[in-house]
Amino acid sequence: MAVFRPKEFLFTEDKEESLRRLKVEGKRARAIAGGTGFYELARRGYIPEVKQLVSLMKLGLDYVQDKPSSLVIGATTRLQDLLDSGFCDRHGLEALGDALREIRPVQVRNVATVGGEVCISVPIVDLPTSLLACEASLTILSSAQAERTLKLEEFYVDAFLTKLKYGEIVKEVTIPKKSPTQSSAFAKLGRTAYDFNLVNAAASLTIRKDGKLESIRVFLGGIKRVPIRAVSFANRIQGKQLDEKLLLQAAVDSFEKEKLLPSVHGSSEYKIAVLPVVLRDCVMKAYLRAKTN
Amino acid sequence: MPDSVTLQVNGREETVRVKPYDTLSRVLRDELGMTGTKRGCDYGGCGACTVSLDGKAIYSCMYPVQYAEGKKILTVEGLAERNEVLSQIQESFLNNGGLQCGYCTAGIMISTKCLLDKNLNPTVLDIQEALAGNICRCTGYGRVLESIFAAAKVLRETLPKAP
Repeated sequence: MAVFRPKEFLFTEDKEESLRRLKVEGKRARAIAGGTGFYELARRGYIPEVKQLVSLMKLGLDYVQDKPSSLVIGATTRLQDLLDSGFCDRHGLEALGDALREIRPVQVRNVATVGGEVCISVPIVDLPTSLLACEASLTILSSAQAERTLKLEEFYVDAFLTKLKYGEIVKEVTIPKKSPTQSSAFAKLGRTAYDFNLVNAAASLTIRKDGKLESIRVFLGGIKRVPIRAVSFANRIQGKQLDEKLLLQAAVDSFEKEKLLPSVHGSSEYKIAVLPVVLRDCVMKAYLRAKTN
Repeated sequence: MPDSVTLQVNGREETVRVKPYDTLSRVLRDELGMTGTKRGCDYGGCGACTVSLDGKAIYSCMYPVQYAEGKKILTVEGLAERNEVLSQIQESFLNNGGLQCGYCTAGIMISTKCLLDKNLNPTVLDIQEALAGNICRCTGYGRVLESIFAAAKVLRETLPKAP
């Protein structure tokens, strides 16, 4: 197996130098945040070409800001710190709180960062699915002054591949504040309570006064190489009074002919069988929250 | 990039030379000779390498050693207050049969310490949540739970009473 032996660990407060190094070194350099995902990939021999590690942990990106119209989360905010901030249990953002609690064990939550979860771009992680349901966007930094924003929906290209260019890092994640009638939820299935997901689902919805569904955004993880929006499923339940039977049927109808991403832990057939249950539980949880709001 | 870091391990300062890709567990074991912290899977799947960093449990096998500078590191060697006198958590695991082969025990006891420092009245769910990242293939966890409940009880009873 190719051995991971970088020659330098750049650990500085100098944003400009960090970004410059990432740009100049290209694929020989990698940005590293908490390191949990990174070291696992390194140990498995996936990144032998990396010669320089550029740590983002001293760049001052560890913050959660409660702004009038949005929640802004710095890229190097640890998952446990975000959970402890309490912002992720507010109405409309419950999917984030659900997902963070489902990321186990606590040893990982204490170290892994929001930016790392977003940028690693592997189908088995949980936070991106719920961020997508909550309409998150990213602020991307290419120098200390130059920023661009990108919707998270447009960020993922493939497994391990995002729209980030060499010399760019994610600075923060912005989530718009939700209206009082909005609720969200996240659900997942893994082999064990502390495992990565086989499939996960996140939904954000609003209901009318009569209890019928007004609008819904549903995203799914683990079933394709990148998280996907469940458009066909959403269309099937649009405008309806929701119950468990209807949701399960809509999910079965939406995915029975699909080919889902197989892994050693679950074939496509297995995922087709379990996905409707996860999807039903997720949407029902969000729906009940909306009704009790 | 300095090639040495100063770590505060169990209350003692240690300055060691490190490589750019070193993890905390490698430095603790191979440079400082503190082999109480175990190397199991070496990529965050088993919890044998768990240490406490400023009171939070982390996997030291996937923690860049550079990040540990300036933080208080507690390993199993530091659980006992003095040499040869075990901590209440260690006594409790011993008395309640909370270990068999012992390989996972250092990590489990550190996770326990992090839990009980915050919560001396843990429920079964609290313990399951705190120990989800520590795999034990011998005990089946029953005796581990009993040991933690017993340690919590003794620690509660030895708390200074309010006047």
